[in-house]
Amino acid sequence: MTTEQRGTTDDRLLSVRDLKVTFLSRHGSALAVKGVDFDLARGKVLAIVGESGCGKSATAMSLMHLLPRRSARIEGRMLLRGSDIGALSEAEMNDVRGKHMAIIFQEPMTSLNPLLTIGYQLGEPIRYHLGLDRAATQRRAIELIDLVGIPAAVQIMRSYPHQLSGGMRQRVMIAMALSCDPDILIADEPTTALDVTIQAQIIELLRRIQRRTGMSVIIITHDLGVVSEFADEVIVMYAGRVVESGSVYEVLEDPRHPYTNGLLASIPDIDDEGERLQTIPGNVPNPRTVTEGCWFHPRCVRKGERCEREVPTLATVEAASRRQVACFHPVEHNELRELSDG
Amino acid sequence: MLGYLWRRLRYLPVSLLLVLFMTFSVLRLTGNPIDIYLDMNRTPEQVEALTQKLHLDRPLVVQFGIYLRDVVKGDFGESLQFGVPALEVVLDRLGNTLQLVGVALGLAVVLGIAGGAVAALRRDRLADVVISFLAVLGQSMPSFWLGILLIQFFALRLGWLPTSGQGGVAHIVLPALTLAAYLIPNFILITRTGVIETFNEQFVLTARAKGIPSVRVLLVHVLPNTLNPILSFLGLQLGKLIGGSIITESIFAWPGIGRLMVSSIFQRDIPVVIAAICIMCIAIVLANLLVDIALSMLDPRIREA
Amino acid sequence: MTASKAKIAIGGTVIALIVLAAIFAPLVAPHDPYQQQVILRLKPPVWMTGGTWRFPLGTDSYGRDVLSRLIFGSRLSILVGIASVVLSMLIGTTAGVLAGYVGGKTEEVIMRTVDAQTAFPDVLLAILFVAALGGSFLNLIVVLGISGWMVYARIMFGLTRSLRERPFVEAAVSFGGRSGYIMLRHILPQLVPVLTVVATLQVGQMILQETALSFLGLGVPPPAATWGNILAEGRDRLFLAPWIANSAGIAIVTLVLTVNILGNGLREWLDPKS
Repeated sequence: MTTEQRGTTDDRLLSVRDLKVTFLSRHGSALAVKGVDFDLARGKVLAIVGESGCGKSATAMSLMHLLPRRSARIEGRMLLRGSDIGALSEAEMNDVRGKHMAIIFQEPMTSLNPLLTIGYQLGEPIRYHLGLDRAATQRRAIELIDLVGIPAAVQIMRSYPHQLSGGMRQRVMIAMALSCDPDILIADEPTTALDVTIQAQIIELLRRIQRRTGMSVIIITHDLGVVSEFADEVIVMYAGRVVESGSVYEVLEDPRHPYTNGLLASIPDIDDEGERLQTIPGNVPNPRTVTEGCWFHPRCVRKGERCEREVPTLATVEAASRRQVACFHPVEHNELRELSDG
Repeated sequence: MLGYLWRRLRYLPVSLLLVLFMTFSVLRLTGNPIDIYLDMNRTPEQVEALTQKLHLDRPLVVQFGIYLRDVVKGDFGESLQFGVPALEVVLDRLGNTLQLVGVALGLAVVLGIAGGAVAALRRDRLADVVISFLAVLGQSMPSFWLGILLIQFFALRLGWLPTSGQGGVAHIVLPALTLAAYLIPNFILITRTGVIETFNEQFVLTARAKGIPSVRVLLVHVLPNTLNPILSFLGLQLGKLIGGSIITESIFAWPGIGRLMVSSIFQRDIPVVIAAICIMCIAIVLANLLVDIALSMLDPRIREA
Repeated sequence: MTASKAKIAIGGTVIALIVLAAIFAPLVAPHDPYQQQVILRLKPPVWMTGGTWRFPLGTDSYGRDVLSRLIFGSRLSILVGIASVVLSMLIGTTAGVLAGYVGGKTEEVIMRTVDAQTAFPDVLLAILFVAALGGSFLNLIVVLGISGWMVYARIMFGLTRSLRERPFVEAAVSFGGRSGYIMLRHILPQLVPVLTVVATLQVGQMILQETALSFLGLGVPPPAATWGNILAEGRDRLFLAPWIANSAGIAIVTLVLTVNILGNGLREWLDPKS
C-alpha cells in the first residue's frame, strides 16, 4: 500500500475520463456527476468515498450502462483495456456486463428474482457467457457457492431468495458476480444494508477473493473503515466531483481537502473518550441547485473569498505522489484535524 | 401448497351456498312462486303438482332444505321447453360455452399482455399513447356494440367471417374477440403498470448486469413478476367474463349456456334458468381455484404461505 | 395538476350537456320518440344519400326519429346509473364501515359475503331477478344496486380499518364516544373524497350494465326508448340500417367515456400521488 506500486500506463485496466451523468426529468435536468477522471490498475482495489447523493453510485452504474436510458445521459470516455465502452450499444454491452465487469448492489434483499431458484439465477450468466451445458453450469454454480462460503451448496441451489438471509443473499450476489471471472468487480455499498457482524464477514470475503483471483475492484462506500481495510487507492467525491484522490495511506493519514478531513473527523474514535464527535454542518447540495464557486464552500470551515467565485480544479499537490486535491485552501501537511473544530 | 389450497377451498361451499340462498330467496320470497313458475293459463292440476313438487305447503326452512337436497342431487326439475331434466339441457351447452370462453381467454392473455408490454417498453412514445388510448376507450365500450361493429365490418362489409352461429374456426373468431374485449383493456393497463414497475426493481438491474439479452430479461425476469396482479384480476373478473359470454352468445347466436338462459327466461323455463345459473357459478368457483393454483405455481412465496 | 383539471373540465362539460339535453328532452328532441310513421321508416341519416335534416340520425323500422329516441333514452340511462350507484353506495358503505369498525364476527360475515358475491356475475343476478319479477325501471335499479355494493364495501372496509387506528378516532373512542356517532362524525367524512371518485366511475359501469341488460331484453321492455333497446332493435336491422345500432353505440360510449374521464380526473385531483 505504498506509492511504489503506482501503475504504469500498461497495467491500466480501466480509465475514466471526464465522465458526466445528467439525470433528466420533467422538472429539468440535474448534473449528478460533473466530469470525473480516474484510473483502475489491474489487481487493485479502488474505493470511491462520499456521502449519499455525491454521485458515487451514479458513477458506478454508468460504468455498467445500468442507468435508465430514458432518464440519464452519460458523457465522457470509459476505456476498458484501451477501448471505449461508453459508446457500446445495449447488445454489445451485454458481452461486457457479467463477463468482464460485474457488479453487486447495496440491497441484497431485493437483488434476486423472487420467482426463480438461486441455482437458476446463478446459472444464467454462466450459460450465456461461458456457453457451458447444464451439468457443467451446475458444477460451476456449486463451486461458486462453496467459494463464497455458503454451506450445503446443492440445497441452496434449489432454494428461493426469500428463504435466505440478507447476508446469504449478498454472498449469492457475489457468487453471481464472480461466475465468469470478471476483470473488474464493482461493489456498490455492498454492506450498507447488512448487520454489523455480517458486514465484516462480507468485506473479509471480498478481500479474500480479490487476493486469490487478482481481479480489480471498485468499492463504493461511505464507510472509511472499509476503505482502510480493503482499498489500495481512494477517490473522495463531493457533489459530483472528485475533490481528493491518492493512495489510501496518504488520503486517510493526511487528508488535504477540508471535506475529507471532515469525513475523517466524524468517525468515532474509541481511544479518545470524551471527545465530542464532529459532524460536517449542512447537507450535500441538491444537484439541481446552482452554487457559485466551490460546491463545498457553504459547509467549509476554511473557505476564503475565492472559494465563493471560482471552482477549484483537481491538481497534484506533491510532485512525489499522484495525490490530487481540488481546493484553494487545502489542509496543511500534518496540520491537526482538530483545526476544523469550530 | 396443500395447506394453501385448503384455505382457499374452504370458501368454495360458502360461495355456492350463498348463490343457492339467493336463487331460493328470489324465487320463493319475492312473490307467489306459482306465478313465477306457471303462466296465466295454468290449470288447478298444474298448481297442485307444483305445490307438491316444491313443497310450498311446508315452512320456508324446510323448503330451503329440500331445495338444497335436490340441487346437490342435480335435480333442478324438468325443462318446460324440452321435457327433459333441466341439468341435462344445460350440460349439453356447457362445451360450447367453455370453448368460447377458453378461446377468448387465450386471446385476451396474448393480446393484453403483449399490448401492455409494448406500451411499457415504448413508454410515452407513439405506440404507448395509441395503445393506452385504445385501452381506455375499450373500457368505455359496451362489448355488445363492439360485437355489432365487428359484424358490420368483417361479416357484412368484407364478408370474411360469418355473422353468427357455430361451425368451423371462422365462426368463433368474432365472438371470441368480442368476449376477449371484456378483459383486454384492463390486461393492457395492468401489464403496462406492472412492467414499468418491475423494470424499476433491483432484481431486473441484477439480471441486466449479468449481460443476458434484453428479450430474456423481459421474458424471464420482468413478465413473470407482473403475472400476479394479472391473474388476481382475472380471478376477480371471471364473473364478468361469464356475464359477457351471455351477451356475446346472444349477439352471435352461439349455442351456449348464456343464450339458452336468455331464451329460457322468455319461455319462462325457470328450472333451466336456475340450473344454468348454478352451473355457471360452480364454473366460476372452480376457475378461481385454477387461478389460485396457477398463482401458487408461479410464486414460491405463495406456495409456502 | 393541469391534466387532472382538464379532465374534470372536459368530462364535466360534456356530461352537463348530456344531462341538460335529458332534462329538457321534450324541448330539445325534434320529434316525439314514440310517433310511428310507417311511410318514413328506415330513413338514412343526413350524411347518407336519401337522408334529410328532418331526421338528422335517420329513422328506425317503425319510422321513429332515432335522434329523439336517443335523447329520451338518455333520461333512463342516466337515472338508472345514478339511482343504482346511490343504492349500492348506501349498502356498500354501511357494510364496509361496519365491518371495518366493529371487526370480529361482523367483519367475517360481511367480507365473506362480499367475496362470495364478487364471484357471482351481476348479469346472472339480473337474469334471476328479471326471470322472477319481470323487467322494469325499478327492478333495474334494485338489481344493479344490489349487484354493485361490494366495490364500496371493500374500499370502505380497508379505509375504515386504517382510520380506526388513527389518533383522532382513538381519542374519540377513549373519550367514550358512541360507536354510531364516531362512525358518522369522524370516519365517514374522511371517506367522502374516495367515495366521490369510486361512485363517479361506477356510474359509467352501471350505465353500461343497464344498456347491456336492455340489449338482452331484460331491462325496461320495448317500446320504451332506452339506449340498450335502440341498440337491440338496430342489431336486427344491421344490414339495412346500421345507423340505428351505431348511433346508440356512439351515444353510450360518449357518455361512459366522459364519465370515466371525469372520474379519473377527480381521482388525480384529489390524490396527486396516484
